[in-house]
Amino acid sequence: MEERELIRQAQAGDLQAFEQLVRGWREQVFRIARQIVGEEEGAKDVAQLVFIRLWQVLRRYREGGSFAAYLHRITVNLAIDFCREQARSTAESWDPAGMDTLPSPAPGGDASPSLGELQKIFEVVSRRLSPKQRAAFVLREIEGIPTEEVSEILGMRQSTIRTHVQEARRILQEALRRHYPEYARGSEDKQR
Amino acid sequence: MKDMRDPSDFFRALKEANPPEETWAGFWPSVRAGIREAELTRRPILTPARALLLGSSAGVMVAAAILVLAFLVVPALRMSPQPASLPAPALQASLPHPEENNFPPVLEELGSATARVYTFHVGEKSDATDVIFIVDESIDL
Repeated sequence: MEERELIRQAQAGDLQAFEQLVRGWREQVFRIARQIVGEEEGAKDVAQLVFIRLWQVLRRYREGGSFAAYLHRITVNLAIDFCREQARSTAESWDPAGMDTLPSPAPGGDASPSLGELQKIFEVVSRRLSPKQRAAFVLREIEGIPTEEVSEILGMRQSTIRTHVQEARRILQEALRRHYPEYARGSEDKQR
Repeated sequence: MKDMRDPSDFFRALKEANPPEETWAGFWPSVRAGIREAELTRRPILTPARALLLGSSAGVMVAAAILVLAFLVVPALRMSPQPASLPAPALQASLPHPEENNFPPVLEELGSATARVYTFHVGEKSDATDVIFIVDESIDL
């Protein structure tokens, strides 16, 4: 069934139609939550909360607006709330000392990490980003969502989104250079 | 930055980092349970039945309010002294006539034989206000 029809039926209270919507979007919602929250279990909790919230507010969604942006906005907001809650409960912020203890790749090793390693590296180096920088980077640079839509999702101007992404790239590059020098080198440099 | 790896390129592959299928076991039942729980805790105060009851009693409540007004306000209006009917503008009406020794009209007598209270009605409608002068020979300035 077409997504628009599923949304219409779910708005009318059809849980089966809503389940199909959930199946269609759960991967992306999980991925975005995962990159913002920084861990798998938390991301799964956030993804569940996202769809519960979506069910509650779906009637307010008006056809014609971007459903993806609507859903992603809920995702980002709940993921950021989750991070704040975690930080409050553990009274823990970014820990540079902890970062230094993480294993670095073997010298001379392959500079293309596996997906699992890449995920771990991102979880570590992205701790230096503010929640908004992280959300902007994840949506724009990882998920490849156009700046215009990211601006709609985060409720910020496009220029602000570009600034957040630029700043995030600078911080991530610096963290990579410092903690994962093998991965930080560009292809040009590796050939030397 | 030229010879450094671009973090955007480096981390772009994370778009493919989908969790294994077993991650979703129990996902939908949890969402559905959450929806039910949320609906129970956020049940609206105005249920359809209550709305119907409220709607049917609204007419009775309005009628009761009108009766209360009729019993309380109307007698109160009857008992209160009727304000002197002053032609508009009020200030002009309060001003003395030339033949009255150039004194403003005396609106209230005080206990003192010589004291007088003069009230001027200034302005109209919401701007209307009273300016009161008390004059007595015994007041020592």
